[in-house]
Amino acid sequence: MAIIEVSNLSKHYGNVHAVKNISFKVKENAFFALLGPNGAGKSTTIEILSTLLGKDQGTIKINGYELDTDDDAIRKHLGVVFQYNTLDKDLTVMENLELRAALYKMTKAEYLKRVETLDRLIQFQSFANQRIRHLSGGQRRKADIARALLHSPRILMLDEPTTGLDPKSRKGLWELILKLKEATKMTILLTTHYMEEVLDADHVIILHEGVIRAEDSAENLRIQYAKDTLKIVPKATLKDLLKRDKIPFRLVNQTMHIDLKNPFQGIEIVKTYKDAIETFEIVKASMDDVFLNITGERLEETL
Amino acid sequence: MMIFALIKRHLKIYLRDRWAVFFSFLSVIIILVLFMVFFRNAFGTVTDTTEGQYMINGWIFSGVLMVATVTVPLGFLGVMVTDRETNAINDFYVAPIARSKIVISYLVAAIIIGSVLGIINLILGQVYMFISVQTFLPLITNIQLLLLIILSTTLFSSLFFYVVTFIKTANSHGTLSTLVGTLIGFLAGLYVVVGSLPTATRYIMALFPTLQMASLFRLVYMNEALDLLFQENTVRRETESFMLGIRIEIGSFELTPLILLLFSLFWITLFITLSIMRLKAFKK
Repeated sequence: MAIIEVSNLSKHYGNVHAVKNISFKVKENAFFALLGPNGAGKSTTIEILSTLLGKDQGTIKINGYELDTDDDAIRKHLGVVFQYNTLDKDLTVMENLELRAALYKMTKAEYLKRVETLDRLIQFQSFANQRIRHLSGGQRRKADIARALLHSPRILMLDEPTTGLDPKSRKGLWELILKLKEATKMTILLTTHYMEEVLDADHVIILHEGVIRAEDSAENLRIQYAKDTLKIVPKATLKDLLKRDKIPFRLVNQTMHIDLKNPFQGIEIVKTYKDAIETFEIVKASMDDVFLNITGERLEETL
Repeated sequence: MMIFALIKRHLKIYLRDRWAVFFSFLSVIIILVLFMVFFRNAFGTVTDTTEGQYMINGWIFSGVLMVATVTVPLGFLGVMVTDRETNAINDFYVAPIARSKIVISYLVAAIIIGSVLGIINLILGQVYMFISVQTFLPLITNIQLLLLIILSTTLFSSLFFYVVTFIKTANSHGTLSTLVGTLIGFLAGLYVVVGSLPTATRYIMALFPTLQMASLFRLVYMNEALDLLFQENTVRRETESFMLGIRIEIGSFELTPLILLLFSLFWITLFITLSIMRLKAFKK
């Protein structure tokens, strides 16, 4: 059953058409990702879904409620982690959480119980009484997530949550998100421009210039849009042998690249031509290759 | 309940930024320093008597009270500007609370902080008064001043609330605060003796809520001092009252306390109406 249904969504900023007539559905309890570079329309989409931004066109249903008609009902079941830190820097983590609890009409007892539960998942007690401005980037992100989950939402929206974090904090945060997914069974809607972050997603949408260019599970996208590659450092005879057997290859510097249907095909080629090979490796297709093949651009080039 | 939580939050944010609080009082501090260094001498021999000191203290502290009700709400509203600039306000927008309530919480908090700090100013003024002339203002005067503080804070909170809805950055807010802080001493007739100004300037100043509220504060704060100083000399009392901006007029039409109160209610109604009309700018 779909918990989010988006039909023909469009949004303009002046003359810029940021989101162009996109439609998609997010299943309940799914881990759903919107992948794309800056300017692809990811944040605009998530801001519309989180009731922050008005849409120009289209219909959106979240949790059975119509956006723009039942926004308060939608907000009750929505937790949002923004790209930027929204917690008050001069308040402690607990003071920030207390305020948010009041905004969701939680009683003191409900709030304290929920904080205890969240601490078991997120582990923020060690810095709970420190002001946000004194926390590290990773700790602030944890506090942000605790804030978003305080009212036990059914849907968690994460808008590029690892942006600006150092690699260690990014890894830690990512492990936390996967742990939350397992523990809470929430629907998670993620926007990111990091390809490795969508590998665990049940469903990935590739957005480019406001348009959905492809969607499927990460693995299916890889199979469909990118190929594993056999990279060979050849001996002198290999080139002629491959031409004779009509095996297509590309020469990249001194290396031969052969696109594979699957890794086993690579093993067969290596076995057949082992006497003409100095060394080799089989490189799995990445989401970056998927993005390149779909959009004609490398993701990191567009950031 | 939700709106109270937001108001509490705004107040905490403001009070924990000590520099923001300090700068909200900068005009007050400047006025006090200028008074101590320069203006006191301008009153000549009046300051030789206790009654004279009582009157001058009343003049300066009524001005300080009025100025604080202008600069504190304006300084406080920097919290709203910053929340919008840093998108911190988005966190409230995704909660199940109407945007209009979120926006109004800033206005209510501005009135609360302006009133509370105004009352603290009133108490400090009384302490100074007691030290210098060994007297306190009568209870009824204190009650009237308390109501005036609330009235004036409401007026200037709604005025600046409307203005800051157009402001997008903390930088612009800082510039506005500096401008207001510089002008307020003149517009309220604190850096200048109102009666000595050209007629046209006096009449224009009388149209601004700043001099109108300053006049109300002076009328209440200085009433007893004027009684003691001028006793039966009503002509002298009247002349000095117009000279010091205690009473103001446009042409031959005096703005009596009742008219000034009606003016302040008009300004409040006007700016709250304009602010409500501006709420649509906060819609998604």
